Amino acid sequence: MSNYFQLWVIVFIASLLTACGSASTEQNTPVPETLFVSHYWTSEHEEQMLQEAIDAFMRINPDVTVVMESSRRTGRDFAEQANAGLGADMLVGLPLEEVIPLAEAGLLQELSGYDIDTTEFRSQYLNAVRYQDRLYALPFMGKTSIMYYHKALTSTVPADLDELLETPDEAPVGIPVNFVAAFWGTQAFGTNLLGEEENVQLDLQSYVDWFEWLKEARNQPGIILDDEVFFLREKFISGELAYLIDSTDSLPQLKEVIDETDVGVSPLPSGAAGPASPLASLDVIAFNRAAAPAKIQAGLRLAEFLTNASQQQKLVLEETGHIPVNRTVTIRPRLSEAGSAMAKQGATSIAIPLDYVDAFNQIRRVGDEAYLQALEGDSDSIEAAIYLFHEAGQSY
Amino acid sequence: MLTNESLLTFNEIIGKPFYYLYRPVVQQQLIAILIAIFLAWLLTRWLKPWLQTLLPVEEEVAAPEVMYTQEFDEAKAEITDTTVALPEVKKPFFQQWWTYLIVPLPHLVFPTLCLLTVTIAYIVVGSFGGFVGLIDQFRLFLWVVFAYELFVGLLYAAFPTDTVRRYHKKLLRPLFVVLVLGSALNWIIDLNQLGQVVVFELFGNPVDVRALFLATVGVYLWLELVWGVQELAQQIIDRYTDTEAATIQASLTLARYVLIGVFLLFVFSEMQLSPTVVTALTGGLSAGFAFGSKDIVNNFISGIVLLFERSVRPGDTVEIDGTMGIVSAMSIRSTIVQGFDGREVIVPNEKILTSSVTTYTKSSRHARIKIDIGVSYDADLKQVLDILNRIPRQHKLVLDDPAPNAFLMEFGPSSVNFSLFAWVADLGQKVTTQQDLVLTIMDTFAQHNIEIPYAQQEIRLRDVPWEALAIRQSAASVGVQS
Repeated sequence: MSNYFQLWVIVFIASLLTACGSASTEQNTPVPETLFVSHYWTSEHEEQMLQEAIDAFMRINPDVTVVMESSRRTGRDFAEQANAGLGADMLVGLPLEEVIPLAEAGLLQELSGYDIDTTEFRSQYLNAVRYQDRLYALPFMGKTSIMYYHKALTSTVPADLDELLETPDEAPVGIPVNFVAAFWGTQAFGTNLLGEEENVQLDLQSYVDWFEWLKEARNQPGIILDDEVFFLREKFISGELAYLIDSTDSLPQLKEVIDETDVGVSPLPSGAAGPASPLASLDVIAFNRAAAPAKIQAGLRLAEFLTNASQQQKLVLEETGHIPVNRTVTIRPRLSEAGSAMAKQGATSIAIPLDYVDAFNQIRRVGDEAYLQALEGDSDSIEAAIYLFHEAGQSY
Repeated sequence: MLTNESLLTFNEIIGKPFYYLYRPVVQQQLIAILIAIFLAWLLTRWLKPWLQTLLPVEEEVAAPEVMYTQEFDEAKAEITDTTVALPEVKKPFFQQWWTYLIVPLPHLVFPTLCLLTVTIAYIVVGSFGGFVGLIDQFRLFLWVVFAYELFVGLLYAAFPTDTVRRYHKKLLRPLFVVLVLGSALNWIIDLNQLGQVVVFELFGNPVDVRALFLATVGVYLWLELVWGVQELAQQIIDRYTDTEAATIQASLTLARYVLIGVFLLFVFSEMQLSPTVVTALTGGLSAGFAFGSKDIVNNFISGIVLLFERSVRPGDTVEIDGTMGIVSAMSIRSTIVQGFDGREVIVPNEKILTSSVTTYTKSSRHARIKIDIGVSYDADLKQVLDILNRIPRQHKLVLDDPAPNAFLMEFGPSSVNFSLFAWVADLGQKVTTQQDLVLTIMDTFAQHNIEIPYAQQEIRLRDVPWEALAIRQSAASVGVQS
């Protein structure tokens, strides 16, 4: 027992001394920095995309070695690891909603103190990642709603809601109608989700107008409304629908099952008040609080690289369904129709700021019921909108 | 499904723990843990001797050898009308219920103190706002150690020390270490992914970490586990059934080899050794294998034949090559015979099968005791016969059937000679029972003034020329003086 113990102690102390010794050397002479990155993207194609981007980064930053692995392969959950001081230095593609529990547990590095150029980020995305006046993450890429059309069935794309209503019966449209999926329509009628004080504030008239439009659309034989987007997607794949409003991340699947050249992508139709603004879900870049400052500095360089216009454009052009967060990204339709649509939709999409996630979820819970009342119940549009505002605690 | 390119490499696996070791927050926690363990170790050193003085824990208490059983002694008293002072018979230590509380205590001192000091470290580091997750996990690990040590302590309390020690060192401890290392590693990396990392190629087939682990650590643990189950099953069957020990051991040994064989087949399949590869292996190496392993194969097959034939079984008393002893174990290659002088002779199975072996216990384990004793011609011979017939009947190890019998055998030169014949159920009881009987006979004869005479010889000298002898002696003494 005591022999084992002594051996263990010696090995342990030697390891610690080695570690401490190297760390002190690090302060005096610049040594190549190794950065341990964990990513949250799930598909093989996305993983490959990220690896290529990181390889490009290492070519122009030879002093930084990035070791990346999927978060699915890091053993325990990041929160458990980080709580012990372990885990990756940098998290890439972390879903925005996961920032809150990690930040509240004190596991993410607060980035306000670092010199970060945020001018190229779209403001709505940068605002979304702030939490309690602190910056715990940087926007990386996003997903939102967009319009797909079947090129074999139609060649025209409705630019606005009126044109959408006028689509011929031979080219049916599928529109998902739950609170989140149909949110883009209220924006087209003029609601400003975040209000003047950047609080979640719905606009009653916009909802009334949107519900009216949906009621009218419901009566059109060429428009199918359903609260389940899966059902509509199946119809689109089978060629029963010419148009489909769906999430951008459905693009790889659609291209896989339909002839790639037959899948067209277009921004959502605009309304009377302007372009449609669908909700965006963001993937962010965050840093482990246990990571050494030098690692965070190296990570910020990588973050800057991954979010610059060139890399964002490359990632969008891969057509994995991600929208850019860099405001300078523009893609010509001739280069990539889907990429161009993604970039345009990314410009008008909005993300729920972390500070308002709870308030938004509260509205969301009653939002779906309001849509049901408006479209399937006896309520008229005004009653349904008032029900939503009343139940969600919104003033009107 | 992940591609091979996306799997972890060994560098990543080995590098990650060291990578974390460079983090100041990890170093702080490790230092806190180290200090806590060191304090616990110091406290243990100080506390353990003191604890042992309070609790005289005897881990190894052998049951005292009882020469005289209570019943036998009472019977003897009836014969001799005297009371013989008995050696004090201690109750076996492990029969006391409170030993289950006391025996595990020394095992628990260190983990308990560690838990205490590490908890203090957790509170102190946490109060300064430091990371404590690692310390917390270590605390959890200590609870596991505590439970493990408690379990081991209870095993020591319940079973013979030697048996538990082997379980402990060869099975429980390695198993525990593997489990702890596995769960610790799982904290950092996904073990499923690690298992798929290809280490090398064997005849064109990739051998991954999982297969390699199974083929090394897995095989070792399986062998020990199967051995442990065999021993445990044997002890339970021995204790609770009347089945012959030798039969049990032979059956369990066979079952063990079957289980080992099945596991090896499983390992081969995990290593993806295709039938073609196995054929190539056995075909290519068969010539060399045949020469090199002839004896091993002979012994192996002989071992299987012996186990089935049951001509020699564990526990049998045999005589092989002039060595008499008890067959203590039979393995697939050899048989171990423990001589009565303590020597252990390892006899290849082939030799047992092909040469003549004397067995004393094949059809029956009964053994006959024969005691020859002579009494004085002055003794009352009927009384002697009566005593000799009654004493063995009072001994609990002497069988009633065949009944013990004493016979007047002959009129010797110095004594009238009797022989006492008695049977015991097991050869192993023969010597001690014989000793009991001889001592009792001596005592009883003494009580009844029955003399056991020494051998006597009377020498008579006839027609000695005493005068001539005296002259020759005096002449010799004069010659010496001149």
